[in-house]
Amino acid sequence: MESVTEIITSKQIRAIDINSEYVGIPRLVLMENAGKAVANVVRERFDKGKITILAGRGNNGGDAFVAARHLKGFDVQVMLLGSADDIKTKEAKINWDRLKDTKVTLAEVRSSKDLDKTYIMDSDVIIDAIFGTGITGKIREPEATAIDLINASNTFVISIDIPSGMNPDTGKGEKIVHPDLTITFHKMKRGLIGVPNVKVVDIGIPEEAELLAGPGDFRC
Amino acid sequence: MLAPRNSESHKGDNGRILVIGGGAYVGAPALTALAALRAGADIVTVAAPSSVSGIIASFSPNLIISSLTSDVLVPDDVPIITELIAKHDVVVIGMGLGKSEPAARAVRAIVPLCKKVVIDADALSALEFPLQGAIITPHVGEFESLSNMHLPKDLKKRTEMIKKFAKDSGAVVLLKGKMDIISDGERAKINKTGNPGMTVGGTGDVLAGIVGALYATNSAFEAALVGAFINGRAGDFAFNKYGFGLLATDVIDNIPKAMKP
Repeated sequence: MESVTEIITSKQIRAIDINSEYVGIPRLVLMENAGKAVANVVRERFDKGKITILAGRGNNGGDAFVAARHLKGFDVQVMLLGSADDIKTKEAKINWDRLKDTKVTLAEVRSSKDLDKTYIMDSDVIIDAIFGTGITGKIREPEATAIDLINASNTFVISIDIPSGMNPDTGKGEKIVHPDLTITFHKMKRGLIGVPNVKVVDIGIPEEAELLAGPGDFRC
Repeated sequence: MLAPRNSESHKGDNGRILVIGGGAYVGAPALTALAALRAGADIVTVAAPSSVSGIIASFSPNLIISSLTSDVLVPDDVPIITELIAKHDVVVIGMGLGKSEPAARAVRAIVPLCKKVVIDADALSALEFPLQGAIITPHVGEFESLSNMHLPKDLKKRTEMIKKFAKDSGAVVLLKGKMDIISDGERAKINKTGNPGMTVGGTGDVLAGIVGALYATNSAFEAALVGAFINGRAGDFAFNKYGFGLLATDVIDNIPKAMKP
């Protein structure tokens, strides 16, 4: 069997996601496991405090919404970059909606002016979930300002799956978050080689999702 | 994942496939050729011995037929085939050739001329290793005789053996069976689509055609892996309708459905 140092590409990640669903483990389950894993890592290091989650509108943001739900006892604010109506995936939307009746504070950041700078800077932990491994195209506002704010803070920054802005295959990007810790899912990404403090966590992707041929092998 | 199709592409861009087969049998190369077309190839040419080429041509107006010289594939055909290879992206060879000595000699001369080649059926027993740019599609019996190896029943051990053979031979191996094993020597994957109804004659010819079509625009490993998946899935759709009465042509008819999300 391969060890955790095995590296996967962004193309393989997309295929594995689809093939997991094909062998019976839907994305919503993987998102739950990913978010719970992030919350567990936060608990290993902190027992209370103020947490800012900066979340994008894709599945990376969805993982963070789950983490927020599992961070009971912390003072959590989720700052969604954009409006809730523009959340791109069904799974992320479900997990956003699940936060509505909780103690988690929700904010929709429609422009960079809406970013609560003071709250971010005063936080004990910032969770970076703006962009994941599916990143494409140029970084716009308010994401660009959010990345700058994270990098300007003296706060402990945790990136989910990959530092926002980084291409998972090359490690490059026009603007990248510099985290204190990256919690990456399932397997190592090439772009993360040489990045300090990367933790690879299992999110319950079944072995069959990688071993068996499935629709993920031919669908983009 | 397969390469997406460019909307600006024109005839030929999505694969020109040369099928070399027939002689002992007539239907096999036609099944391969029609499967390649259904899997998205633009142009499929069948090069077949003159004794059978007319019959193959009469099966379908979608096929281009190139008539060879004799009643089986012979070394004298190599010059014609060399010209044809230059006009095609992928060669699929072996189906219905028969096990004659001249055909085996011709295969040994042709295979090294191909940049991308899918080798099946009777051509498998004529091979010399190592090979480059080749996908071989043996069933268990064919694999054991071409490799002089005995395949264990245990799937994990069997997969390791296929992986090692792929590495040593340079060829991508698609071992056909209840569980197909696909390896390029680095990666190994399993395909579970397909059903016992597919033991009917001709489904292997269909698989070779699908893999050939995919190989035109994808890596050998992806073509073999996805080809096995699509072939089995098309067979599963055919099984739903015809049960154990399914035919290889039913599998061909279901290829487009099997390629959809």
